[in-house]
Amino acid sequence: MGEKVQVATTWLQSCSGCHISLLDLHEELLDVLDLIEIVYSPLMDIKEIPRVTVGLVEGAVANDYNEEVLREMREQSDILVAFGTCACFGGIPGMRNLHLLQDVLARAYVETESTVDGIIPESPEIPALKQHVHAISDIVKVDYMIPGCPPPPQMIKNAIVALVNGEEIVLPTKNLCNDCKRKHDSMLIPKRAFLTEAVQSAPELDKIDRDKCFLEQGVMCMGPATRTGCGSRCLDANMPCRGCMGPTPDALEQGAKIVNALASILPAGGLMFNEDVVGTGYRYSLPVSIYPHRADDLEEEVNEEENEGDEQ
Amino acid sequence: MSIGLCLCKCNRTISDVVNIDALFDWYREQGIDVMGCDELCSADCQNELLNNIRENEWSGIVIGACSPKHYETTKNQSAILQLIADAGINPNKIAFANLREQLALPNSGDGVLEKAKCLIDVAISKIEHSADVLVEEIPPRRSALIIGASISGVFAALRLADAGYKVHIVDKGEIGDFSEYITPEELAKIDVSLTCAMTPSFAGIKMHPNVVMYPETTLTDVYGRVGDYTVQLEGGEILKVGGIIVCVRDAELTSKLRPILHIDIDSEGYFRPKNPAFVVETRDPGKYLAVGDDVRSDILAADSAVLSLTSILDKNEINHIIEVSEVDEDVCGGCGTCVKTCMFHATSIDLARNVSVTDATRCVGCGNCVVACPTGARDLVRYPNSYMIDAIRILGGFKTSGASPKVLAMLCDGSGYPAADRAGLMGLTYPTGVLPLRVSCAGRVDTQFILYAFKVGFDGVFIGECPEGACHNIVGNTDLARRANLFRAVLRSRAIDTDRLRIEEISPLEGDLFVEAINEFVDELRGD
Repeated sequence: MGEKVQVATTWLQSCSGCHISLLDLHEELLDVLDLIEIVYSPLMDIKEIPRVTVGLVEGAVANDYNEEVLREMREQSDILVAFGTCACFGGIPGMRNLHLLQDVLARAYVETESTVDGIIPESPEIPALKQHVHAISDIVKVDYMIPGCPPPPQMIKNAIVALVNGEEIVLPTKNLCNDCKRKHDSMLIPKRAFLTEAVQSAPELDKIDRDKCFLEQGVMCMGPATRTGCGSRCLDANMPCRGCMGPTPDALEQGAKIVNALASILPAGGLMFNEDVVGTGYRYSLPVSIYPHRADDLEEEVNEEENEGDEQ
Repeated sequence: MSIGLCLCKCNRTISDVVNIDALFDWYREQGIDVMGCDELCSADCQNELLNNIRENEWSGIVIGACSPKHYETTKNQSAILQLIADAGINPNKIAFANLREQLALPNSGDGVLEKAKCLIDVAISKIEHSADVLVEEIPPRRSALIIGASISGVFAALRLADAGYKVHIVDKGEIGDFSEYITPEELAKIDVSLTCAMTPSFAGIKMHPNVVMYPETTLTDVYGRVGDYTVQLEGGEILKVGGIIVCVRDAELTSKLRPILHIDIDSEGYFRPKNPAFVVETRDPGKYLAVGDDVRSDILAADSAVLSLTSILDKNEINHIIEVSEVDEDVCGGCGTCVKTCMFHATSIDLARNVSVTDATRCVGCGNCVVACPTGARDLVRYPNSYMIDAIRILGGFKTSGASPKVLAMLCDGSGYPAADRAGLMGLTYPTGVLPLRVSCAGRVDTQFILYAFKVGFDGVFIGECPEGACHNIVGNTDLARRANLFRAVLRSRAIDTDRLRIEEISPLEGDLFVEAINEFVDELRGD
């Protein structure tokens, strides 16, 4: 065995779940550590990012500090990998783009039920929140993506092994239905009729047939509009897909695509009543959607133009 | 790829409003071959165009002239499309900029030249983003199906049978009882000799060796293309025919036949021709209507339909443009959404490979499955996704003057687009900031396009679609309505006023209603 590949990891706006998923390799982590040396990571007390071959970035860009760290990681990494859905698509933190920044701050620091005489902090010590949350590809050039919330441990391992061997990270391109083991009958009958008369909400999970397509039972499932590769863990646990792997490569975005599809298969009235259409369609990918923030949220445009100059 | 641009002055109708010389210079500077002509519908200009195509070896041609509808629905103009194809240009590389009906006639003043450039750029984009379509040659079947043993049905059957065609005549009732098709009052009005001609006619088809009769029979399925249709009768019997003549005028029966035959209907619920001047032609060149207002016109219509049909079926070969929805098998995961969406039973899942496949003999190219496909694996040969997005980007670059709103008008091929053409021909006007984009069907309007239109700066999105029950593709407008109902929540979440999306039902001849609706929309957007 030659010299180990130098790897740096960091997390921006995220929950650290992708790093935990890496640790979830358990004993197999030792195989990975035979190939790589992690020289910088949030779990280590090292101040400066050294020059590395591979940089893994978890998390979205939500404040100025995130952006600074991201740019430094890009600078120091030969290969920069968006590690997990927040980095790839903005993820859960990206849902903040549905609100104006001042409303978010007011909610967090003033309006929460337990707050008394709250004030919105203003200090140069605290990194300023950006107007919008961004996927890291909005800010810097990204070489590869490992999507998933979090990406399954095996997927992370395979990606690292590929890079160590000088290969590309190849993601599957089909949707989750391709790997779904549930029975799939009504969807294949060429008949113009909704699959069900009513739409059930996910909390009624105990009533759901474990072996039958969720949509055919009237349960909202994002599988059709979601890239496969997750190993269908949720489906196996009788939980419908929530779309964390993001859109397939041919779709412009996940939210509009699932709206287009559902309109011909489930009764729209039931969906509007039972489901948060926006939250369902854009839960993980709002910052990379066609219209990634509110129309009345204009201040950012100046900043975005500044950023464009730095993109490659 | 070298693209030619042919700019027609339309005998000054276009050139009086649009500065054609400026367009010439602009596109020459872009390295595009430009030719001009006074009237592209004249033989001289058409010859010049064909010579230019051959000499310059253009692989694509943009025709900046009158509405493409003229080229597609009238006999004299559609001939030139065939000649252009014969000169070596794939049918998918012929694109139109509608500079007459949708620019010079309804618009004037500032912005007209810039809008002309936008429309031409969109046409260039269509050529650049469209792959060649396959053109297949098939020998036509010399047989026909007559639907309805009415007076015209019986005469059409006789004519065809005498010409050597195998004729199948289907009627939901008895064959030979024409009291159902003609009232005693009407009978009393006509010449006795004509009356006498009819009873023997029924006998004539019954006795004719080339005629097979199916009384008290209904159709359960019809699919295929001119020259080769498959017809399934109640009970399962299958007929193979080259063409179909529809001879019923009964609104109830029409509504039953419509989802099987896919022929457009008018506002009264009767089958309608593709062009009011050509009363027997439908938009499917193998299906004809033979229905008159009285016995005489019934017989004339039967003769006209038979002549039209045999002029095609007598050919040795018929060209078919394979205009289907395509599947990216690397992305399709076999979910079946397209199967559920397609009204024409043209999509199915190949279970062995778990990918969706398209039956080219059933697909009508409406694009509803392309929109419904949650992965984006499906795409439409004639209106690809990448073209639609690029077209919206180009039109979004148009600068309106002052506070005038910018509206993307996505107009369906069946109604919205011809209604806008009609408005121009009626001399009606609307603001230049209304930018038309032709779509195959309201069912082709992807909600992604609507979001993208707002992203590139449109103040409003107007969709002109067929009235309820009259969609070319049966369910395109209802599917758009379902999608829009869910999609409005997406607009609200982005703080985009849902009133900025307007969906309007318009019949193809209602140019006045189109202008009324679009002007009202523009006024609302302006805040009047």
